[in-house]
Amino acid sequence: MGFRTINEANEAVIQKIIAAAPFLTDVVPAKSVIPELKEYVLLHAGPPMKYENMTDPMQGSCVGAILFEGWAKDEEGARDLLENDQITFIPCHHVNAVGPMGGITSPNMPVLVVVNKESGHEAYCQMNEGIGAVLRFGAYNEQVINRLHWMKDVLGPVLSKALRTLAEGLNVNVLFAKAIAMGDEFHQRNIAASLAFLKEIAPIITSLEDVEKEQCTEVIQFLADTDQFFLNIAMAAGKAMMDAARTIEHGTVVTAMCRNGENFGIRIAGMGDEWFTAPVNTPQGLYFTGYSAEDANTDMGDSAITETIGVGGMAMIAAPAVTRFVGTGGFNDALETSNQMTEICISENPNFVIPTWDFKGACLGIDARKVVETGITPVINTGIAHKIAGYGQIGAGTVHPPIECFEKAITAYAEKLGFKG
Amino acid sequence: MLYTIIKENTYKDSIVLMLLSNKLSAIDGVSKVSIMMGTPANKDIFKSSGLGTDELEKAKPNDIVIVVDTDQEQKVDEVKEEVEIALKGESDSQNTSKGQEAHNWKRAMELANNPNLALISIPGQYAAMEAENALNEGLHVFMFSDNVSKEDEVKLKQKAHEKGLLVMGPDCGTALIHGVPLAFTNNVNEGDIGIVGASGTGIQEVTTIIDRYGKGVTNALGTGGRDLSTEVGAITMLDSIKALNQDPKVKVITVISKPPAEEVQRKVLNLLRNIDKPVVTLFLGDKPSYQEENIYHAYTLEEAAVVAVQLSNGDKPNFEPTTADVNVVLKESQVGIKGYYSGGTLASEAAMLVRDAFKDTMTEEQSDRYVLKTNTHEIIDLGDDVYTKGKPHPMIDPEKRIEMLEKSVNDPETAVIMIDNVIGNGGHEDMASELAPAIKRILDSARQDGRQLAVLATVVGTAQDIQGYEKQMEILKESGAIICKTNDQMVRTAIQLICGKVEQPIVDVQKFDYTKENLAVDDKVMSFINMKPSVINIGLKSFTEAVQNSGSECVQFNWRPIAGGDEKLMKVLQFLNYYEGGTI
Amino acid sequence: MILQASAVGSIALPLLNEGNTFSVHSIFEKGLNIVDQNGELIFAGTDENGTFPFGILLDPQTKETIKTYIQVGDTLTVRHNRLTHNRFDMLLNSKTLPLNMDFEHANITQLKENFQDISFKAYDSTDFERARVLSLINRLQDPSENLEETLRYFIGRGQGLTPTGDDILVGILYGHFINHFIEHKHLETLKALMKEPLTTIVSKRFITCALDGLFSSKITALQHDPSLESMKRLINVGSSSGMDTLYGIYMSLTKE
Repeated sequence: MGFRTINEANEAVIQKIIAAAPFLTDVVPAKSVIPELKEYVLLHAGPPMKYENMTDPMQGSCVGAILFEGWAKDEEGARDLLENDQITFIPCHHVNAVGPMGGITSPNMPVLVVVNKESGHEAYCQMNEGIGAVLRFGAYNEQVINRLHWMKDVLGPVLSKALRTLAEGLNVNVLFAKAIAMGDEFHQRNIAASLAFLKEIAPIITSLEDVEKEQCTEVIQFLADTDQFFLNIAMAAGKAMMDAARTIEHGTVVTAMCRNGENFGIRIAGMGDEWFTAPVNTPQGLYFTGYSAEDANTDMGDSAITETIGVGGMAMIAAPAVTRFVGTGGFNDALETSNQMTEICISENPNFVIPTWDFKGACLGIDARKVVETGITPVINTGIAHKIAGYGQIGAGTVHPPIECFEKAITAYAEKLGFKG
Repeated sequence: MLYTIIKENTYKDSIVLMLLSNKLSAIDGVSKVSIMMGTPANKDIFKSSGLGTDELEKAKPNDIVIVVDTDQEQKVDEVKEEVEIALKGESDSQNTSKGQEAHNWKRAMELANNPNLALISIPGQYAAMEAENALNEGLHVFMFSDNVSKEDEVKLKQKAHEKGLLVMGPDCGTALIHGVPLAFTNNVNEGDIGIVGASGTGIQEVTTIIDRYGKGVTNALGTGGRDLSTEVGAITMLDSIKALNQDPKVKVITVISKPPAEEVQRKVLNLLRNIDKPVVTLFLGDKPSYQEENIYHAYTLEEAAVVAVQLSNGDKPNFEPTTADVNVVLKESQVGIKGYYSGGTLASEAAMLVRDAFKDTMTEEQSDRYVLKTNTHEIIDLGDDVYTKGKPHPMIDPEKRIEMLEKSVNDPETAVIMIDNVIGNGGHEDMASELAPAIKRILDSARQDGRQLAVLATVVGTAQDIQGYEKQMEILKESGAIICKTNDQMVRTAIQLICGKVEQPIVDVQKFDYTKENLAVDDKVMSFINMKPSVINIGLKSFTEAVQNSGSECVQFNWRPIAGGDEKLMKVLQFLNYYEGGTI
Repeated sequence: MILQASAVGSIALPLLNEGNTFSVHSIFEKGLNIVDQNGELIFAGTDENGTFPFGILLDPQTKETIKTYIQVGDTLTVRHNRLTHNRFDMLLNSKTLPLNMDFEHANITQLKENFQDISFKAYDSTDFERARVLSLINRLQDPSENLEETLRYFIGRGQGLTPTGDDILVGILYGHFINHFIEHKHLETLKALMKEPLTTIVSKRFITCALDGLFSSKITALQHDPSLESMKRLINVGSSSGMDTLYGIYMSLTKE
């Protein structure tokens, strides 16, 4: 496949993203679809990193995952394994997966399976645990570990059975389209999509014959309580879409954005698997009562895959309800934000039409060139973690990638094409 | 009870009527209301819906008819009031763009209301590129920015000429477009004198004198200082002269420039000889050696202004230079004239007159720090690059001038000190009060030293300028300065004080052959000078406010260099943006 | 001040004769109406509602400029191909708006198909219910009918500056021009009725133009692009005028 200009290559990438057809097909143990995920291996969010460079919440997540897997009896044992390099770490992104916040994923955790039917790409993401003390924010007490076991033993299998009754799986684009019209942007707000998902799945769950009624009730109650359940589905869908786009292998469209608390990493289509990294920023936003910016952990998680496909902070205008929550003021600020984002994007996505934006499609195709040219970096809506493991989420806000990532990416790509500066 | 209101021959957008209908229905005590045009068919509707009245019959198809059903008669007044408000109310303006700012061209063009002018004041190395973008968007260009290469200037002006657009500048400080002052410009009455000038303060001096004579200038087009160079070939000046010639409101055309390259001057004069309207030219620095029937060649700025006023009044040109009364006793040793100017053209005019007066007796030193330097006299343009590097212009910042004033008093040979105070848009808000204490100090200090000193000052401005022309003169006078009405008067007064005199040229009227020129002007230029401009301001934000204050529309474009001005990244971007390879 | 008209409609052009005088009849958001001594109307304004054969097209800034200078009742005179007002001159040496009388290009099948996606239910139980409009359309094909009374019912009936009944008639006339069906006799009846004061001056202008096969650009767009989008653009004209016109077209194409 040859492209004459970078614009042509970018156009091909965009067409690939528009054509993507993500379907949620199953929930399975991570190790069954990720062969690299053997004993004593953990996945983490963001670009590659070492254990000792992880922030406290991410290290806490590692402890929790080890306890869940039973590789150590107690915290001390877990820390021992971690500090003596007994655990191998792999970025989620390297094994077709994405993970929220710390993104710590272990072999027996159930993962959502999203298939991009246009390209055949599969992507995985662990399920949302709800709010409060949760593993992704670094909590690892008994309650957290018990919930993880319940998710493995009940939630995962029940959802798997329910999804398998659908020949095609669940069309995620349909859920996106419905929920964006109901005020979701799929990063900070997923309540409409989560309910739309529940609406599809609840009748199936209640009709499953080989599941105890009590379990059905538990699962439905959990889904009804978990406003952000769809976020993880959206992330897996985003990963499946962008991995298909990455097969174009040319051009300057950003194909991944992620962070690990230490570094922010991006990929662009023309540079394949290479990460371009720079130190992360700390999110700006609003804090729950009793917390302040001083308590905030640095930016982490693979959830910026939602912004990569043009939703999340990029589609702020779709979700006027969250603008206050993330501290960006009112409706006009949201409008201003999304309008500004069009300056670094190439096109708009006809699949995600935003009513509050006069039915414009969501931003599509962040062009790393435009980011460098204008100095405007993508806006990411994000939860803010406490910098001490276990406290969980203490606020929400927005964060920007460091511009150096984009500068490095386009410079490397220019050099690859023969630029001698 | 039914009440009928008929608004004869009244037309409103349907939406207004519908909103009104909703509003009236919502009034408490109104049980039914209907608003329609009074066509026969609609009268039937009124009747069949129980709203038929006798008055209704009087209504004609082009009348708005309102029938109200209410038990409370006083409600009818309320209804009438609402009707009046709705029918009188200004059409809903859709101008929500006000106050919004852009940071790229696309957004700026969206926000602006049919823009026709880009005002550019960003650093020179980027200005040419943005000027080209502006021309591509079909905008006329006013380039305040300097440090633009001559090659770029030629390229831009040729492109503009081909597209029927004007490029004013680079390094253009002054222009009036249909009465709207741009950048450093005075608030001048509108009137029938049209000006084209290659010099900012030259235009300011001439337009303000015209204003003070009670006449006016609607369009003063700046060309930038290099327009009359051989390379540029006066592209902007020639197009501007043609535009003023076509404008039926212009009675007299005035052209101001430094002496141009000879072949360019020939070109300009040939065009002017094609024109029937009376013309005044000033090639400042050249002493006119002839006059022409329809072209008055002036020697000084004041002369150009006064003659333009006389011609506009239909009078015969007649300029008598004047001097101010000075009551100062000088010692024999006091022979030096010092001029510390903020206006470059005013400094040049001073140098020209001093040179003329003492040409037989003085030897000049060559130095780029001085406009004129002899062993006794010095005239300095403090706005020159050598003085402004890294510092604000002396029209904004008094510091350098105060320093020069205080230094001059140490020289016992100094007889006269001349200073200008250029007010108007963009200038210091009260320069007179900044300079006054220094003037007072040097006068005192000379007196203590046993000599007197003449400090002459002239204010370039009009009564409409925010600083106040009279007030600025008053403050300077208070400090002991002698106020001169014009720069011409100030310099001649100084020369007279040390017993010199400048003769006005006495010349014959000559007749010249000329080649016929096409005087046609692109419509875009004509509509430009005949309307308040709708401006996109790229750079200094204060220019936006000034334009808006004069009642014109202006969108602020907060320009940033691409990639934050990082040269390597700019090259990377250029490489990628223009990359063409078969096999990437 | 010298202003420039962007384009002039072909019906407006012959009215802009040297010396002809107009008075400002009414001023709207999008422009103004001027009327000459014979009551002939010209609309000068922007093309937000399409361009009109009896229009002078202005860009938005020019329109705004004129609106700040002008009042109802002001006089405008044509001199040296300029429309002269005591505050401004408007140059008229601009291009002429195309007539778009290529009705044969209309894709009637496609139009009918796209009409399926538009709901005209809102007209049920109004003065212009389906049966009433269909009956008019059927009778328009019958030379033995006398339609004066029926047309009187439609003309000038309804809300707005161009009453609904008039807009529907314009739509029916457009339907006729792309697919002839109206008997000549009835066109004559309508023409005669237009001489009576039955409706607003603006509406009268639209109908008399429509009788000559002259329609606004938002209508004639349908013969070049029969898409749903074109229809929606027409619907957006005025508060209901565009919809009413479309309804007339729809009904005249669905008759059997």
